[in-house]
Amino acid sequence: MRRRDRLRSRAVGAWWLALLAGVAALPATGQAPPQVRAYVEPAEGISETTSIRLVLEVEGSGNVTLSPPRLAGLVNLRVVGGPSTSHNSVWSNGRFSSMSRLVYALQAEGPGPAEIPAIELAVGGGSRRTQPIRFEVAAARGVPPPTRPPGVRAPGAGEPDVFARVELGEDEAWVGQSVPLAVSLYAAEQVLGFEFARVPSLASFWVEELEVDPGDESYRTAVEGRRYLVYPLKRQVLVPQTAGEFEIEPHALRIQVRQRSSDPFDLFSFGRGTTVLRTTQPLKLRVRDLPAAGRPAGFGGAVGRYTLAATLDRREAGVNDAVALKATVEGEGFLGAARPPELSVPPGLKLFEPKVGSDTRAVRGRIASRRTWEWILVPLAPGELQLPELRFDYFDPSRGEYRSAQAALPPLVVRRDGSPDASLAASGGEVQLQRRELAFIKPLRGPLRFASERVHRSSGFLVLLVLPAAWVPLGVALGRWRARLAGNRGLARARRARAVASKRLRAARRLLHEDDSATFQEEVARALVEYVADVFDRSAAGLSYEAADELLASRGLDAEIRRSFRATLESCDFARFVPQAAKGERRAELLREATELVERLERVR
Amino acid sequence: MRIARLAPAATLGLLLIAAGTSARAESPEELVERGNSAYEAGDYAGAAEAYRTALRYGVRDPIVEYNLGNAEFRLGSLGQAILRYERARRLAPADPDVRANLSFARSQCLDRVEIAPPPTVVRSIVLAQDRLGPDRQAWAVLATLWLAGAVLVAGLWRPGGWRPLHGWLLAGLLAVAALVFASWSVTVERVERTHLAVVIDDLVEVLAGPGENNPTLFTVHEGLTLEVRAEREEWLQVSLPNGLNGWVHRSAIATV
Repeated sequence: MRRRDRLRSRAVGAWWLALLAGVAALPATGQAPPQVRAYVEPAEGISETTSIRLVLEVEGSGNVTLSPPRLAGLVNLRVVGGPSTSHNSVWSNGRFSSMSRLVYALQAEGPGPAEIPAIELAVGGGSRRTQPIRFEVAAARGVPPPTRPPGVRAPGAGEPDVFARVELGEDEAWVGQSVPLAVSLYAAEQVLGFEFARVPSLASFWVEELEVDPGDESYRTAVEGRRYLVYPLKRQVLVPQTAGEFEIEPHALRIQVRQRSSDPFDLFSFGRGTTVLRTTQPLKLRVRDLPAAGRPAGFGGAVGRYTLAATLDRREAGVNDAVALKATVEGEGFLGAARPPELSVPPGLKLFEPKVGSDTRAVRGRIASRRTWEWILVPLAPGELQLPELRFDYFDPSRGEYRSAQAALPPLVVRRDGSPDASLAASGGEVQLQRRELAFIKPLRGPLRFASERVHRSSGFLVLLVLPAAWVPLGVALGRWRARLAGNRGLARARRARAVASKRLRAARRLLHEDDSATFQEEVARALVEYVADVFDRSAAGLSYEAADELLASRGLDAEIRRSFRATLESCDFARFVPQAAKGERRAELLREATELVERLERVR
Repeated sequence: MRIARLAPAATLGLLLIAAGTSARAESPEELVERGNSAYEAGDYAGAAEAYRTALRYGVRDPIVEYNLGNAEFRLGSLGQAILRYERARRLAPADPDVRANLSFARSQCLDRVEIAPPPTVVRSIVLAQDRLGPDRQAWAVLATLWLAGAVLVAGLWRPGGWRPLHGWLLAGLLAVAALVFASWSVTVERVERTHLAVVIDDLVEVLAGPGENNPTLFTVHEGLTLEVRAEREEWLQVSLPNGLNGWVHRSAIATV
């Protein structure tokens, strides 16, 4: 059983490997180039004591991988850890995409300007360059250090020094605006584990959970002069659905920490694990309704700052070819429920429902979203089609007004034949198919077929199918009969005699109306004589009338039959030598007499 | 005078003949011919209507299904076109035009279902099976069995006439009969007992269960061919060649 399980698990593993290999081998043709990002965290307020995280990300279709680059030319910075790597793969709407991330821990060397130069990243088979990052490192004293949240006091003696903090990206927001919420754990002790003991109800919000990896994203910072390791525990996007004043209840965390022992002789316990309960501070958020004035007709509820881009996968196509139109809206805000940009299709185009892709992430404490819609257009008639401009209406919370993003599309040239002109110009060489097209309709070549069953459904066919099985007993029966026949000489002789006599009489019948009377008479006479000779196993040659009569008498045949037999033979002899004595009617009578005689002999035999 | 008296009667007679002619229903053959003429003239809607009317007479002819598939394709109804080609293929599995147009129409589908192609040997066998069709294979089974029966009887007919040749011949024929029978069974299973359906709506959501309240597992587009595995009231359980399966409403697809 275990062996079978092992084999099964190996098979499953091999299947996954094969799948991954297949996915990895997907051709890159037609895929958008991977996007590369580089940024530091925290984005602001970096001092010489801040632990800085440099994040390098690459994202794209297919299986993108990121090799650790060489971090050279850092200004006022040094690498103190990393890189840690992570990789996410997503299969969505029939598309495979993935994201690779490298995270380095950096430390400023002193106050002043710092710079991370452009980094050459090896992505897949090519390379991409990031933008250089420049920021100012403040002196430790000059930057107001992070403080404990309100209501959180400093720990007492022997009490584990851990606390939780919740941060809301905005105090005020509009309906539909994305507001980031983050919960972090500050620990001066070694944290063994944690769990949320209570989370607030967020019924008035659309909540989108974002990925967070506490171990990977942890960093060091100082609070009130004491160094803490900060673990981001939760990252959410809150999208208020109604206006009003909302209070977000505190989160409660159950944290397991390793407490250092104060006993100098406690050498072996390595400190004891203890569980403490920590709560975050309550938060308030004021949500305003979106203004009714100036609301565009195409507004679908998107709040943020966005750009719109639109592309056609080709400028020329044939009738009935599929053309992909892709619109991408991206920017700061949450687009999870956004409607597609307005698209009015001119006549002569068939439009299919779009495939939708969506991605939301937290970048530098802000929510960044990208949403794509991919329509398939099928031109139905040749000509040049000018697609109208795409338009995406949104509300900009920073300006407090509605705005719209537009994207123009190039004209689409639709050819009647659907093949590139260049291919038509091919000359010489092997004759090649220039395009695929429907085979033409078929003419009728006879009567139409109506609903009919398959051959094998008819009962006649089934009978014919079973019948060969009946041939076995038939063959056996025939074989036995033949064997019985072969073992009985008398029976065999009688059968042969009957067959020979019948043959002679048939020959005589054919000569009935011929001029050759002698041959007719001879055939009749031989039919009778050879019959008797065969029945009695005698030679026909030299069988006289007397001898034949004696043989018949030996079988107890009555005198009348014997007389008839002899009379018929004598008639034949007489007619042979006097042909004119046997004319047409007489011949027929003679043949009938001979036939009846054989039948009578058969019956009495 | 006499002609003048007969004129009304003659007019009435002509009118009756004309009315009788126009009221006479077209035969299915005439409808197909009319559809072909309309198609050649570029009137694809008229052609499709004529073919559909012919089919309502109970016609099950691959030519009509094929021609209707062409007309539907020209009208931009990709799902209906593929449905008709599939029906034509079921009636005439070896027809190269049906295969070519089905392949061409499928190339216009939005959905691509990636599956590993079968080995060349399997493809050749399937092609040969399709070319022969179920009926010819059935007759081949019958002929082989009767031949085997004839050899058996011939061997048993004469006492002592059963020879090794009879045995080998009989064994060979029975082996061929078994092989053809197996091929025939597989063909019937593949062609007749596999319930195929074609997506006819532009976009169809495939749900996790039979009912609107079930979550969407994936979406498929017009023209994709699915296999129907089960049905429950107005919902059909369908599967794709790559193993994905779910439930769709009956109105979104048409069974072959």
